[in-house]
Amino acid sequence: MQADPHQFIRQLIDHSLAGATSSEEQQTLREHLPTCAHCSEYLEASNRTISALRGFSFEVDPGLDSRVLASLTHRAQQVEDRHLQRSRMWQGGIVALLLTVFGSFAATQLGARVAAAWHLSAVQLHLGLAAFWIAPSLWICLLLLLLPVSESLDE
Amino acid sequence: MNDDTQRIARGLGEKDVALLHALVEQYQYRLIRYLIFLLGSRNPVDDLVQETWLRVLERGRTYDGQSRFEPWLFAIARNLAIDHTRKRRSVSLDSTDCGPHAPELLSPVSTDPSPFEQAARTEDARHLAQTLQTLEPIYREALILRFQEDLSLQEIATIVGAPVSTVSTRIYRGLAVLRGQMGAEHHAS
Repeated sequence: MQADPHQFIRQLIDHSLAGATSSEEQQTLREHLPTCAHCSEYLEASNRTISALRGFSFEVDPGLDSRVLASLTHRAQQVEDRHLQRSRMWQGGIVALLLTVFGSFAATQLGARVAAAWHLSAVQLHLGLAAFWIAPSLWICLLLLLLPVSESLDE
Repeated sequence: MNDDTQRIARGLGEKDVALLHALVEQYQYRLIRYLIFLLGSRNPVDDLVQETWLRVLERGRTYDGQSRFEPWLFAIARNLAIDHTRKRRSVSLDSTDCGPHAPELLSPVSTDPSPFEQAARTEDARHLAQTLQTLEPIYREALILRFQEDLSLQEIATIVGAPVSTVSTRIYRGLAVLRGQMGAEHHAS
């Protein structure tokens, strides 16, 4: 049984309109179409349909552009503010960490003198430093460093 | 891909508001047209357009500038439109009370002219308007992207997340339905 040659050409026309034909298939179309009224009519009907698809013109709300631009500007400002706030928190956290390290060193030196004057044992001195200086300052550092991370997870 | 797409990618990466404003002016109408063809409705389009541009601002870094900007933009709009449709269906199915939007969501048929009837500017377009309204969205979408936006099959496949062969089939079938309608109108007149 022989396939309908017009059917094949019509498929090629469809492929061609969709942008899916090879150069050989394009050549087949170029050779066939001038000799076949049926297939030419099919191509013409397809082209007319495509032209009709381009015959729609939608009205646009004249205020839409300005609303979109305003919301974009507002959101961009929010993003920028958030970015600035985050970088400030990071900077604060790093400064606090440095202060903790150097402060702990200074507190140890000062604590040794105080312990000697008050006759405190080394264990008491270390516990006091850990409870009243190192632990609180580390908590503050962690808080400043982790807040930006939790904010970014919330977004 | 070229200087223009690279420039857009750089600007989006830097959240350049001036560039975004220029993109809105350049692509706004095409975005609106695409969403109307996708949804077959005018109602949610303005909100979706606004949401799409905000998403472009927030996720601009994911555009690499290796391909054209339009497919990336339309893909964002498409995802938002699908989310919107899902939410709307969920509300209409779940809602047991008659909220302020319930009648609109539950009403299957609108008596208002369709967006296509309102937008038809030529005689042939008017012939197609009603058929377009009843055509499945996947076919309308494929047709508008191919024949109005002049996107390649590969670009359309990227937007819709389907193989190129599926996109081709949608174009053939959609075109066949519309061509049939045009032929019927032609013979009737």
